[in-house]
Amino acid sequence: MEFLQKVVDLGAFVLLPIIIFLFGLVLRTKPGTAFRAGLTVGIGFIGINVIIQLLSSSLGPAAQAMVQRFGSNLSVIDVGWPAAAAISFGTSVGALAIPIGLGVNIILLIFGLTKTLNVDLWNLWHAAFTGSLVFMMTNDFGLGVLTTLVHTILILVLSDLTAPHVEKYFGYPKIAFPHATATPYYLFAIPLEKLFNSIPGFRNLKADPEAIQNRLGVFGETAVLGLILGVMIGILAGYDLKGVSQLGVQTAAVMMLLPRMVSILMEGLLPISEAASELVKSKFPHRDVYIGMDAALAVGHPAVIASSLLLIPITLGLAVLIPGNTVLPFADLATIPFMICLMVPIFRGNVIRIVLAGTIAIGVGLMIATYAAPMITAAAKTVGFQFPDGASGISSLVDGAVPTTALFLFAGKYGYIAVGLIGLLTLAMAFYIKNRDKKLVASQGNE
Amino acid sequence: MKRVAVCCGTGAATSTIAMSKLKAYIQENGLKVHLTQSRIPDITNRQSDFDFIVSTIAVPPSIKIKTLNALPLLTNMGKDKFFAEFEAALKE
Repeated sequence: MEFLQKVVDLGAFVLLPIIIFLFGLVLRTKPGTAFRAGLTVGIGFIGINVIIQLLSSSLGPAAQAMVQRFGSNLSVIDVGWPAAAAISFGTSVGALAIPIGLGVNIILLIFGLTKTLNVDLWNLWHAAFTGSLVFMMTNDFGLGVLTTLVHTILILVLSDLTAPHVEKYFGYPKIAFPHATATPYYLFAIPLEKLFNSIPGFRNLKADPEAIQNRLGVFGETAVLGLILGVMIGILAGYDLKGVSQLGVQTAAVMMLLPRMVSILMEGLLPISEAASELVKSKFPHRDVYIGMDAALAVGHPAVIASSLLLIPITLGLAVLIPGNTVLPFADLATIPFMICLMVPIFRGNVIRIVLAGTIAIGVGLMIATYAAPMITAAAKTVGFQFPDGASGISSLVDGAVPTTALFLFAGKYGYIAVGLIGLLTLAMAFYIKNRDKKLVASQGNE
Repeated sequence: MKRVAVCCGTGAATSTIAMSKLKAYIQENGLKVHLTQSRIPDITNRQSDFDFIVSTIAVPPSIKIKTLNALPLLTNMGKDKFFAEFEAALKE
């Protein structure tokens, strides 16, 4: 136990490279490649931390000034998914997410309970996230691991469900998105589409994404978006011209640099995910599988971009208006596309419908993110992340605002039985899909 | 030297995969290319800086320059065809 504590005390940026290296060896990558992969992941982790510190030192005081001026309660800063991911992988539960995710995936493939082969190992951070939060909340390591495990099953089942839509609407053949931010909203969009279709007048409204995107084009640029947000927050904080301009350039720098740092981390994970996918493909040569990729493949769609741009001011407005919300949306304003991208095929690219659905989703999401903030803050502290001085804590829209986060946190409160029950229900769904597909194939064979 | 923008939705995720595979291919074949990793909305207003785009996502109609679909780099299916197209685009 003492040895384990010593290992954990090394810090995530030492621990993560070691785990990646060992995992690489298990997957039969060359030791040199595995070593370089591990080290690169550690470097990316440090890079993200440095940029988060810049965010903290610039936006933290501004947020505090804003809070004091308006007497509003937005003292929890949204540090965004790159930080959330790094924090999640950094906890002792989160460090196990990649081996767990891959193991669960292989077992479900063997039993035919999923068709998705998730090669996008990086995005197992979402399961690391819920696992870490449950671990922080209950202080129960086993329950955290179970949460991660159940979450990975849920992602695969949702991925199978959405795959036909992905192929039909985005035109990606045999590709699925086992992406834990994007997929839960698919279930939310289906009943909403039925409701929209039953409203007279509204159901005939059309919205053309190209027109909206062209009008807002320059706001879509990362650096410009960061600049504008920084300037806006600076003005709201009551800063002078010097302060406003400095904050603007600093937030622009954060918006631009954070993805670069993440990209370094990704680069490190790449040879590992390649090796994993090679290994699985060689073991299942004749299986009809979807290749599980990052939902980033879908976010470039014009309807997604246009709706996301409209949702940025709406999200900030919601943050101020919703009673009890303490989260100041910031870094994940740029990640809104991931929250809505799998609703887009259901709404067939209708921007009005996507924005309405997004408004409801984010409105509820802000309350979830507020609720999850103490757990995210605690996780950040255990992995040694700095966070804003003026802020009472940190949170993130992705995945802090995602419905599955609420699901697992509430289940986590009731312990193993509740989390296990979600796991059983998910497996039942997987069996149902398997049998349905079997019948479908059989009936096609009879014709 | 040709200038190529390698893009995805975030400029961090799938474009990193495309970048590393392109880099390896360029090195193996002794090609001379300048690669820039970015995201589509960030290069929309500076398309003239590039000869063509390699993108992992569908591009909006506002992108007027030649675009290659980088999906084969992510799935490893149809990779040879992609590299043939890539080399052809370099020679244009």
